[in-house]
Amino acid sequence: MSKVAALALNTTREAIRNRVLYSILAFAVLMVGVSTVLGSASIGDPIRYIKDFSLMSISLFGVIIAVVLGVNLLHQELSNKTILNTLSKPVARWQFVLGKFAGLLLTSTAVIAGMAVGLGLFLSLIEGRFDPIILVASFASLLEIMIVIAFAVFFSSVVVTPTLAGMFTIGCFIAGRSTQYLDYFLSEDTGWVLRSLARTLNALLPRLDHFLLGDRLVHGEHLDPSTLPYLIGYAVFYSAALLLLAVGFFSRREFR
Amino acid sequence: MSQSDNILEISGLTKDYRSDWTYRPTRVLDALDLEVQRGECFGLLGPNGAGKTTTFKLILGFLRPTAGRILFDGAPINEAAKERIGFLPEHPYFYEYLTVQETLALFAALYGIPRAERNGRIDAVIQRVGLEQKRRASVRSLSKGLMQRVGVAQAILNRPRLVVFDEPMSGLDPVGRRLMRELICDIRDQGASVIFSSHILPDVEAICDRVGFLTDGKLREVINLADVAGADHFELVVERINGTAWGDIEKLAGASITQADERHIIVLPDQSQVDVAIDLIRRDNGSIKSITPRFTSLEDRFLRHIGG
Repeated sequence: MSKVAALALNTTREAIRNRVLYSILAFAVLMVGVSTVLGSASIGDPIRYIKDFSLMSISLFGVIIAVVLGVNLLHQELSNKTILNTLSKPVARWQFVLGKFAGLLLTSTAVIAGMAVGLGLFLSLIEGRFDPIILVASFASLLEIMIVIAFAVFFSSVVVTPTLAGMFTIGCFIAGRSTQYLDYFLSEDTGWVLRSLARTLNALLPRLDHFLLGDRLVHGEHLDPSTLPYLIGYAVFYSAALLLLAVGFFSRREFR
Repeated sequence: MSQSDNILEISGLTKDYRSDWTYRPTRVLDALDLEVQRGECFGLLGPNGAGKTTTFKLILGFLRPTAGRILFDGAPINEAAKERIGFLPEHPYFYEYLTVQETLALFAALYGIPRAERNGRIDAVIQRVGLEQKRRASVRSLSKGLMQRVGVAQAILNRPRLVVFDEPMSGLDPVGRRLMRELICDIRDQGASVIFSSHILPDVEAICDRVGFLTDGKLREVINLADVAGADHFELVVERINGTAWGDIEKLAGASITQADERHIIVLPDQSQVDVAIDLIRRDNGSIKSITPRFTSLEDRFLRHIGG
């Protein structure tokens, strides 16, 4: 596992030195700032508005960072041919894929943790206390991002261009966030073909909507104690399945 | 020769690329048979598109062979075998955001070199390739020649038994080429085997023990450079020779005689026959105007194979 760790740390180092990351982060911070201004001008509870908007921003920009870095880092390895140096060493293809995934997850964890702690401290100045729901909701977002990273790594292993890999990843993210709409097509009133299609999609697509805890927590909903363990298990299982497929494709890939 | 004399054995190695659209195969390597002996420096020569880089990529597992097999130290190449193989790709690219030290530290980890040994190994290779002053420089700031040295450093970090260099002299100035030649000889002198491709024939002649000519995916000839170091044939230009010596000279194996005006040009394949011919000519009071050893250079052979 030390080779996976070396690849993961290198991926994190590469991501941290990527200017795109800071551009997206700056925009995320800007959005939180905007939420503060809009929150103070809103009719309802301004703190709740700031939390809701900021948590949504953290989740969304975390996903954007995961997609941009996930798709580009693998593509750059191929286009710059740095992958030849790496794979000429005693490194198995699965170690390479897992190292990339772990590095991206580590980067996302640092980014999400930084934004969450920053938001929590900022809100504690207003509220006079650190609200733990920020951390819980951000952790759920990180689990969702874990699945998105797995998609990015999977599609990067399958398709050649980063644009296509990015489009497919974003497509799966949007579809995963919208899976609750499939429920409408699962009823007996729906035709057999459509119902079967909805069932298949429902089984294959990730239920990313389950990871949106921010809105529920901000509005005072109490989480079932099994929610977080379920989300952790779901994210780990789904990501592992995607990574297995990614390793399968990547192992067969040739580097001309 | 026993099997154990070879560090690398390639037999029947064939590679077809398939078109993305029509899926039609194009053969880029055709039943290649090749051995690299322990401790030797083997040069793979050929024009662009001959299959040199494809051969190296097959050795390192970047490509899957259509047919044939590759044995390293008598066994198929797997991940563990790569612990004893070093590779320098053509135009080596590294992570530009890393320094030279960080780059080598990363590769030391990937080679699985124990943590306690890493710094010592890195120091040794940095010194060996002369990068002491650039240890903390970022890779992106390095010139082509210095980048190539980093490439060599990472290729020998694991103390390999076989080093594969793809066009190591490409793009280097004369000083860089000389240093690269010295490094390759140094690696061989340390006991490792080296296989490399190049277009720069004087460099190949200077450092290789054997050379293989690869064109259109086929290995045309393998020559031992020690065998071709001497003259390929000799030309004698002779005047005033009477008829009795001709018969004897013509009987010498491989001799040929052509006449140009008053002179005769005698071509003989080796030195011993030249000695005999000189005796015969003197016996008949002939006049020898010149004796010229003729060489078939590596370049001549190379051009002959590529049809130049």
